Amino acid sequence: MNYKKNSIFNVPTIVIYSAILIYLIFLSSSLCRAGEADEDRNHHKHGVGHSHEHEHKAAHGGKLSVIGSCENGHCEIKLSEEGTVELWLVGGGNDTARSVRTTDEEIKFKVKLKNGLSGGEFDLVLKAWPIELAEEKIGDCSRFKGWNEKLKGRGIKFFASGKINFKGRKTGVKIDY
Amino acid sequence: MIIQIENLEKSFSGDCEVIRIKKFELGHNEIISMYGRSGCGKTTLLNILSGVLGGYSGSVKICGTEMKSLGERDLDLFRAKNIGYIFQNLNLLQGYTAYENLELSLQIAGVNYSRDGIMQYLEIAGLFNESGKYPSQLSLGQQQRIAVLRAVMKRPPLILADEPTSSLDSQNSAAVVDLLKKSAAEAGSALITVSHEKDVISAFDKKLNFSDINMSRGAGVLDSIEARPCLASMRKAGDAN
Amino acid sequence: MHSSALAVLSIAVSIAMLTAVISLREQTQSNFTRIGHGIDGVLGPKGSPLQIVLNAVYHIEETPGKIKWEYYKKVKQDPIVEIAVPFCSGHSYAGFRVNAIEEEFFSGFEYQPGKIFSFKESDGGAGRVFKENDEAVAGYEAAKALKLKLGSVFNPVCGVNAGDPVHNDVIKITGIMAPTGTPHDRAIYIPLKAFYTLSGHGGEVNAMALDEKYREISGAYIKIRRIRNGIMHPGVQDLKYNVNQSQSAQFVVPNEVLPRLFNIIGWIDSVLFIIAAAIAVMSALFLFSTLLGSINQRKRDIALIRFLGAPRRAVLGMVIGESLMISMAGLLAGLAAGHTVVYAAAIYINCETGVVFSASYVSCNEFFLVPAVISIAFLTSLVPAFNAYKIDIIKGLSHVS
Repeated sequence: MNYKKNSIFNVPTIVIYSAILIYLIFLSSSLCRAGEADEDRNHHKHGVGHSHEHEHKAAHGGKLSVIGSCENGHCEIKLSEEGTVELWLVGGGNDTARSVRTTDEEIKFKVKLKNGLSGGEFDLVLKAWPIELAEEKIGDCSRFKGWNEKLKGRGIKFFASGKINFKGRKTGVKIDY
Repeated sequence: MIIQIENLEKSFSGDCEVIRIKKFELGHNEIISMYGRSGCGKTTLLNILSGVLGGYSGSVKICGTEMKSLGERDLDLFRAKNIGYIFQNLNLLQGYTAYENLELSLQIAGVNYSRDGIMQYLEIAGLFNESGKYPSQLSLGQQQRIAVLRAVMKRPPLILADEPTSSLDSQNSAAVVDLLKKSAAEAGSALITVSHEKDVISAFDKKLNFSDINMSRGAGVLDSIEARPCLASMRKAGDAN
Repeated sequence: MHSSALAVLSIAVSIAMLTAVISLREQTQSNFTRIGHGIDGVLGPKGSPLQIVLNAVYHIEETPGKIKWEYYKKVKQDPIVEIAVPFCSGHSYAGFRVNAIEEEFFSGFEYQPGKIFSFKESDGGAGRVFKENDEAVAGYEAAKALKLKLGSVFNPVCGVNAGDPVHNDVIKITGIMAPTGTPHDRAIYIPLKAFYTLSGHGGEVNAMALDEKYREISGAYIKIRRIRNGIMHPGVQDLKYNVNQSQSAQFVVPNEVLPRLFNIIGWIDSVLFIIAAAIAVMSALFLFSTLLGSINQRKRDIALIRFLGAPRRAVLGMVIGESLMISMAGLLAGLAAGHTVVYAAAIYINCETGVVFSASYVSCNEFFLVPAVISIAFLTSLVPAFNAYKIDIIKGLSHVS
């Protein structure tokens, strides 16, 4: 009897079946790991010289705008329906949860409403609002707050520009909210 | 008739003719011994009769059924139900006990059975206490007796025994032949026992010299130079006798 | 027979490893990232947030510093803070941490939603909360390990390392907390003011007991108010931001720190998983060679079975069935062994961290093992089964007669 004729010990057959076996094992392990979601990736888009939407995470749920350049720093803006504007000065890059203090006691913005809303251009003054738990005080503060009647309402959008004493330099900031 | 053969011819590898039987018949309940020289084709005939060897010409009918007309699956079923076979040695499945060897055969044949029935047969063969033993724990004689029981228990119309005693001493040989004849008679089966031992041949009333029915050129001349290529072909086909 | 047993064993080893890795990984993530065991945030000193969480929540590691009592009070007054419980760590007894804490911890702090610490006998506790400075309460596991009962006394060690000096003060156990299944079971608690008055701490520390202006603490457990449906007040992020801008303290949320830790060390269980998978592959190949070898050895038997009348497909099914039986036996043995490993690991983890792991935890991922094993068993058996299928009766019996 020719035993070798019946033998399957030839390389191609073993390779094929081994590959199938390994595939099945990893298929099962993939099923076990199903449901794991990828972490959100923080893409960073650069605008061109204007305030722009970042994909960095805003610590207070507001909107980030660069101060100078993205790596230099950001300001985070939040507008309530009552017309109150809160602003935080934070770090550059991914450091948007770290405050940057300024000696400014107030920040002035020129505001223009978007989408043809009436009101023209108007001034908005944000006063220093020290974070007590961060031991801030006026003149050494990272948070500001202001209010304007024209910003009351839902879905208000605006452009704003101003200058902030940021990291020792007077730097312009443009906000597209 | 249990067996009806007409113009049976079987050759291996083209030119090596092993069997040429013009006519052969075996009746119901007929018990015969068949003898002949080594290599004359006796086992080849048994393989054809049991349906495991094809490639022959002519007609072979068992219980009126033309064997050639059956497909492989039908042949398996036919053999399971209608033919009991006893080999020369190594008859039993090594991983099964004596009882299980018998039980398996009945299951394959689709025959109704009971534990008591099997144990009764074992008792007849003097193997009641060996029912739970594995073949490696049994003597050759005991194994052959179980092989005989396995063949006869399903009460087949035809039992074929190919040199069933060649590995046994005279005492065990006589016991096996005795059991075989009595069991076949009791089951109403026809029996062909192939042997070259005088004692075995003479234990049967009817004796048949295979050469009397096999007219093949290759038969009975294996000692000659002409036969050597034929023998090589047969060995290659795994059917050397 | 022996090679079949070895095949079962190798499959069992790989399944055991997979089961143990899956169970331990999931329970670790679940236990260590559960709602901080009732702690929404830890107010602590500047330093490693992970160190703060490990020290405050799991009573391991050392605190990286201290914070001022005045600062703690400011945070406590924030409108969104429901409870703020100050504590001082840094002491121990017989390997278990001794933390100084205010009594409010036992009455107002929920270690799980709706569950506060209990000393009732019906819950498995005993005694009462401490009232005097020389009294203490023990967590259930700490009491059990140290054989502490009501009235037992001990001297706290000033430090958490072997060889640290022992205070002369004798502290009496007045209460044993009912088990909570949290790391709090593994700590002993003394009154906060007792911390300052322990002998050998020096006059400046002693004065802190009376003078809040100079008082320092290791940190405070913070619980944030809930709004509708039990959701944490959204102002927690603002609170966290505000505190983190200070020079002297930070607000750490355990549920944010620990998942990051697991992401960092997550590669460990990935490696274990790969090792287990590699063992599974080797088991499959071993099973394959076992079956193939057994078919070659049993050619005669198979030919005999065929001669008796069994069809080819019965032989095919016999081999596939054998493979499935070996694999299922390995699977069952492996699952049992895997859970046994988890049981042993649970004892060790409980000893070290107080966190309770369960040997009977069944991950839904374990159910994927069943079809995986069946598939592999089936595929592994195909070639041997086909070999058995192809066996020619005469050739297979040619040695017989």
